[in-house]
Amino acid sequence: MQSTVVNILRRRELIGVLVRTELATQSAGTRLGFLWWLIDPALTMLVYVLLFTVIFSHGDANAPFPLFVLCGLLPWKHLATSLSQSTELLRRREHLLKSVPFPSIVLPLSTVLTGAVYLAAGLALTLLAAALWGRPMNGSLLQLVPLLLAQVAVVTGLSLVLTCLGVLVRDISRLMEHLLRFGLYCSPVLYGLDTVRERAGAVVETVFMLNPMAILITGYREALFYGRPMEGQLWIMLAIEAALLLPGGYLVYRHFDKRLIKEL
Amino acid sequence: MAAAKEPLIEARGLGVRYWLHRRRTQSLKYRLLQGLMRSRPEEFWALREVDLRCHEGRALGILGPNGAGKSTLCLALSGILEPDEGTITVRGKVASLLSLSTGFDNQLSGRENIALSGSFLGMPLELSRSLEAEIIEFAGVENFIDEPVRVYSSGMRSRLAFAIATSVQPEILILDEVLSVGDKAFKDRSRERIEGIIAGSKLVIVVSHNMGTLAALCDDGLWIESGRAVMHGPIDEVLTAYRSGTAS
Repeated sequence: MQSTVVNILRRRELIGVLVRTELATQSAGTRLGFLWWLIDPALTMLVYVLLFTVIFSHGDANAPFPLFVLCGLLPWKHLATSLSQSTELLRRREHLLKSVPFPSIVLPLSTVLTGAVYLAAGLALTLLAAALWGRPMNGSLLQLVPLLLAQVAVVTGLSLVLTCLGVLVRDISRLMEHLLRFGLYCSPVLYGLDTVRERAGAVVETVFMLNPMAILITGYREALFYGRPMEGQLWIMLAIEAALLLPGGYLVYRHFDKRLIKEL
Repeated sequence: MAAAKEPLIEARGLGVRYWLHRRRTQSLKYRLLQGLMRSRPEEFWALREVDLRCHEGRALGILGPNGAGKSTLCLALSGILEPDEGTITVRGKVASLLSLSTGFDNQLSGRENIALSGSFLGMPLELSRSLEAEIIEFAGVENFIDEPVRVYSSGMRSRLAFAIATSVQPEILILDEVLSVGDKAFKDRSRERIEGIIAGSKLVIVVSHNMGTLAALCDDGLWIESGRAVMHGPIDEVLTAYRSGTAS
């Protein structure tokens, strides 16, 4: 069945069921069940607290470095998990795709949305931690909503391209791990954009901004860590990037749609 | 009057193409040459120029040797593969029982899997919920329904899959071999159920190697070979021709 917008809308219930199933599966059989949504990011944060405050003595009570890292790490994790899963998605469901007619695009879509639920849970926990650390809590938190929407658009666009690539070029899933690690260091997860500007100048910073994750991470940090609005210029760039990536990914998917099942 | 006589399934000049990425040799020299010459994958038409009209109240049997394109035709008629050439028009709700794959998630309970599998098949959640009791009863998995599917025996799994896949009466039924699963007792029940669905469908399309099944079930026959329709007509005539054609 073709992965057109009409068919996606027709099968939106399937996407909902897939997201719920995926969320349930990941906690099914575990003793703590859904608590793992919160335990996961909490443990991640704990590791960074230990690493930076105890071992490296980096950061202080006023600017807690673990919180700073978490604002970048959670959105990055959403991207990384979605993209690496995308390359395997259709092959994992090969048998089903060849026996039941449904638009294959629902698989990458529900993967990205499932990750977004985890991201939202993680950000909620980060918000709690930020409040406990005494970070400013104000109206700039509202930025989280458009940021999440832009994140879903960006990750969906990229994930659609990778779902196709994963089928057509098998080597890609091997390459993903390395590409993602490279991407992690090119994104301001462990450092801030201001560091980039200070050390490398405004030109490099602009190049950095072509990476939508750099803007997204900066945005989450402005909202949760600094409690101030993100620069308007960054919002415009983010909007343009999201508006290009989502329809772009969809068009790529539509282009290869017919071939995907045959190449499995 | 003309509308009533419109075929439920109509295919015109249907063609489905696959690309073959042949690696004749693994030698580096060959690979380099291949890379330099940018050799393109070879195309292979699994189906080509197939015309088909299926009217209400008929049952069509598709026959042909292995690799003739029967399964590809089923995939195309079910809407799983998009045609690369020609058109397919389907007027009615299609259910295809090509194989029993229902997208079960092993970690989830049988009950949750009914909803999941039903969603893949296009059932609204309310529908699968209302059919749940009947599905569980038919599959005979009452005691295990809230256990994760990973603890099911393979027989239980396929019974449940079968019960879900056959829980709704479609208008058009496409079967790749008449399925029967499970032990002797369940085989009889599943056969009976398929026969019931066949009787209730407006149009049935069956692929089978069993000429007896085809003769018993079908009104019309389509003989395909190497992706092309050799003969399309009343089942007796097609079967006779097919037998003599393959015998000689």
